[in-house]
Amino acid sequence: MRIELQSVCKSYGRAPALDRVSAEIGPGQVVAVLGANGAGKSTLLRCLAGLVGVDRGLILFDDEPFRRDRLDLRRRLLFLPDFPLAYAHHSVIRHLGMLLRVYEAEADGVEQRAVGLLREFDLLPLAERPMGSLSRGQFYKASLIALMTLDPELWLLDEPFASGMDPHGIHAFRDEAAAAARRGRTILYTTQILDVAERFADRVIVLHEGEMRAFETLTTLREQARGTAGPLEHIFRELRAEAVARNDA
Amino acid sequence: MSLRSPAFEKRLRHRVRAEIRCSRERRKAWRKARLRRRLAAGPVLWFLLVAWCAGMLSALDAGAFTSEIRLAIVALWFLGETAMHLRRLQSEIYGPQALLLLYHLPLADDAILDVQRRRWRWRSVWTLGWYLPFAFALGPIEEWTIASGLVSLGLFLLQGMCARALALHLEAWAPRPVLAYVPALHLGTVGAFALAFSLPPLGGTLGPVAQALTWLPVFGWLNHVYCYAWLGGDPWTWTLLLPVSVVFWTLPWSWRRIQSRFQLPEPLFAATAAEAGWEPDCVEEGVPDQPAGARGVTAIEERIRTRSFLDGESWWTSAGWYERLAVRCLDSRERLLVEVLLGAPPSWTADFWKRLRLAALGGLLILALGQYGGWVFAVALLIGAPVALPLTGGMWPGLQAHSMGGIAAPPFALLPVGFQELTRVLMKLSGLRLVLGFPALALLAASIAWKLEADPRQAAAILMKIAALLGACLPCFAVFQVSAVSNDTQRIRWRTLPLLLLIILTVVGGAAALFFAGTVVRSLLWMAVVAAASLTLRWVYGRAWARGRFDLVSASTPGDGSS
Repeated sequence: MRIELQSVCKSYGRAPALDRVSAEIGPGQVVAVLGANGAGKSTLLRCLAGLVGVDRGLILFDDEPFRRDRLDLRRRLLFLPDFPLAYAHHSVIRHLGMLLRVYEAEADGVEQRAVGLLREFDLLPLAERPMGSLSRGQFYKASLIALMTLDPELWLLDEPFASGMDPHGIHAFRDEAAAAARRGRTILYTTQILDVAERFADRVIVLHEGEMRAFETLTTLREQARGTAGPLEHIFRELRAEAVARNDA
Repeated sequence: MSLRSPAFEKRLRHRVRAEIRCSRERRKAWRKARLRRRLAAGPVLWFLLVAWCAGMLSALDAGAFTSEIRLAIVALWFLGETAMHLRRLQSEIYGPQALLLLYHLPLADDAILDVQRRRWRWRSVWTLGWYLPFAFALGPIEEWTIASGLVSLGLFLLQGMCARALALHLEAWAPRPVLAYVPALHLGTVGAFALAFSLPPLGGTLGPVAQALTWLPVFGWLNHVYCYAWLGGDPWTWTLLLPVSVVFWTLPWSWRRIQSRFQLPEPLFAATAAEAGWEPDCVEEGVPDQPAGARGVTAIEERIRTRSFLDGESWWTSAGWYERLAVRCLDSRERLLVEVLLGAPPSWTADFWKRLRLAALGGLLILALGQYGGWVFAVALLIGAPVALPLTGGMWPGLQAHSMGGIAAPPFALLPVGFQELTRVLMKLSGLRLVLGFPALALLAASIAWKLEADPRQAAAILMKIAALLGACLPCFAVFQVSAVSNDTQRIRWRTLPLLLLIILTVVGGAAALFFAGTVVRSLLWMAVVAAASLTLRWVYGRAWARGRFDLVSASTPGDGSS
C-alpha cells in the first residue's frame, strides 16, 4: 500500500501534536517512527488508523483519500497500540476468530497460518486461555499473532519492541515483519530504541514536537552523520542540543 | 501512613516553577501542557439534587404531622447515605483498581489499608459540603434566621458524620451475608425517600409510621434532640446525645476489627484456573504416550484446524427466544457487530423477564396507592419508564472506552466498523426492545393514567405517544451512545453548532408538542418531525464521523502518553 501524507496537522486542544507532516511511503517498506516523548509518534499512527481525525491536511492510501467511512481502506490496515485492546474473557482463539471475521479475512488456510504463528510465538499451549489471564508480553504476542494472521497491507505498530515480549518473540516478530515487507506489506512502527531502528528499517521518520525533522533512508542518514557514533544518535543529540539551547534562552 | 509528602511536593513545585520562569520557551511549553481544571459533572449534579431535596423538604406541608414526616424523610436520607458510604468504603478497601498501584509498592497490608482509609475519609469529609442547601431545609420549623440556618446546617453535618461512622461500624461488625444486601438497602432507601414526598395526604394514616422512622438509628436521635431539646426545651432529650457520642468513641475498635480481617486479594495471574473462571487446556484422551503439554497442544491445534473459531453461529444457538428473534432481524454482518459490541453471548431473554417483572411490580404499586400522591410520581414515571426498561440501548461493553496508553478508546474504534452499520444495529435492537417492552409500557401508562385520574383512552394515548416518541428518537439514542466515547463536544465547530442546536431544539420541541397534541393527525405529524430531526442528527453526525471531525477517544491529553 502506498501512503501519502500531505501537510497533516493535528492538535489536542491548544497543543499541536503533528505540524504539517508530509511523507510518501511506498509498499514493502519498513519505516521506523522516532522521536522524544510527546513528539507525535503515536498520534501519527492513530491518524493513519482513523482513530483520531486530522485537523488539516490529507492522508492518501494508494492515491485515494482516507476517510473513516472508507471501510474498504480500513480493512487493509491494522493498528496495534502499545496496550492492545481485547475482551479479557475471550480466549486467544476467540479473539483471533472475531478479528478475522470483522476484517472478512476467513479464507481457507488462515487456520493453518494461525497455528503456525501460535507455535512460532510459543503461544499454542495458551491459545485457549482468556486474554485477561496472560502476561503483558503474552497479551501483546496474542494481538500480534492476530495481526500477522490477518496480514493486512499496512501494519501500524506502536512500540512493538517495548511491549514486554521475550527475546524470542521479538526475533520472531522481526522475521515475520521482514517477510511481510518482502510480500509488499508496509510496516510503520514507533520505537525509542535507536539500535533497533538502525537495524530494522528501510526508512526513518524523526518527529520533534510534532514537526517532521527527518524522513530519510538509513543509507542517507549514515552519509550525513559520517564520523559520528550512529546516524540516529547524531540526529537526536542535535535535537536535544537545540531544545536545551532554546530553553536556556 | 500517608503516601503524600506535602512539604516535599511544595518544595519541588517551587523549584520546578522557578526553572520554568527562567526560560520563555519553557513557559510556553508549560502553558501548552497545562491541563485546565474542569468542574466534574458528578459533584455538581449531586449538589443540585441535594438542593432540590432540601427545597422540597422545606416546602413540605403535611398538616399536623409536618415535623414528623420532615424528620422521617431526613432520617431516610441519611440511611441511604450510610449505605452509600458503606459501599464506598468497601470499594475503597477492596477495590482492585485502587489497590493496583499499592500492590507494587513495598508496603505492609496494614499500611495499604491505612492509605485506603485515609482516601475514604478524605472523600467522605469533602462530600459533607453537599449539605449546604440543607441549611434552609428546616427553616420553616423555626424562624428563617441565620442562626437557625447554621443550627440546621450543623445538625445535618453531624448526621452526615454519623452516617459515615455507622458505615464503618457496619463494615466491621455486620456479618458478610448481611453486607451483601447493602446495595438493596441503598436502592430501597432511595426509593422510599422518593416515595415519601407523596405521603403528605396520607399524613393521617401514616403519621405513626413517620414518627417511628424518626427514631431510625442515630440520625433520628439527633433530630429529636433538635426538635424537643433545642426547640422544645425538654432537658431529658439531651441525654440522647450520649448514645450518639458512643458511635464516635467506638470508632477505633471497629477500625481495629477491620484491620484484623483485612487481607489483600490475590491478583488474577496467581489465581487457579477454577478461580479465574477459565477451562485449562484440554488433554486429549487416548494418547498416553505423549507428554502432557504436547497432548494439550495437539488438541488445541486440532480445534483451530476445524475452523470452529470462525463460526459465529454457535454464539446464538443456546440463546433464548428474545435472542433468536433478534437474530432474525439482523444480517450476518450485524450479528457479528453485536458479538463485537457485547463480547459475550447476550442474556436478553432473562433480562427482559426480570425487567418486566420489575415494571409490573412498579405499576401494581402505583395502582395500589390509588389516587394519593402528587405530580412528582407521574413525572418520575415518565422519566423512569425509558430508563428502567431496556428500550434505548442497554449495556454494550464494546461501546465503552478502555484505557489504551494515555487515551481511552472503545474497542470498535480500532476495527473497520462503520458508523452507519453500528448505529443501524443499535437502532434495530432498540426498536425490538421497544416493541417487546410494549406490554410493560402499557402497564406503566395505565398506572400513570390512574394516577392522573384519566380515562383508559387517555392512557392508551399516553402509551402510544411514549412509544412513538421513543421510536422516533432511536437514531438520536444511537448517536448519543457513540458520541459518549468520542471527544466530539471538545472539537465541535462553531459553524456546525447552530445546526446541531436547531436539530436538538426540534427534537425536544417536537417531543413536547407530540406529547400534548390533541388529535391523532397532529401527533403523527409531530412524530414525523421528531423522527426527521432525529435522522438528520444521525446523518450530520455520520458525516462528521466520516470526515474525522472528532477523535474516537474519550480522553486525550498531550504529554501523558498520547504523543
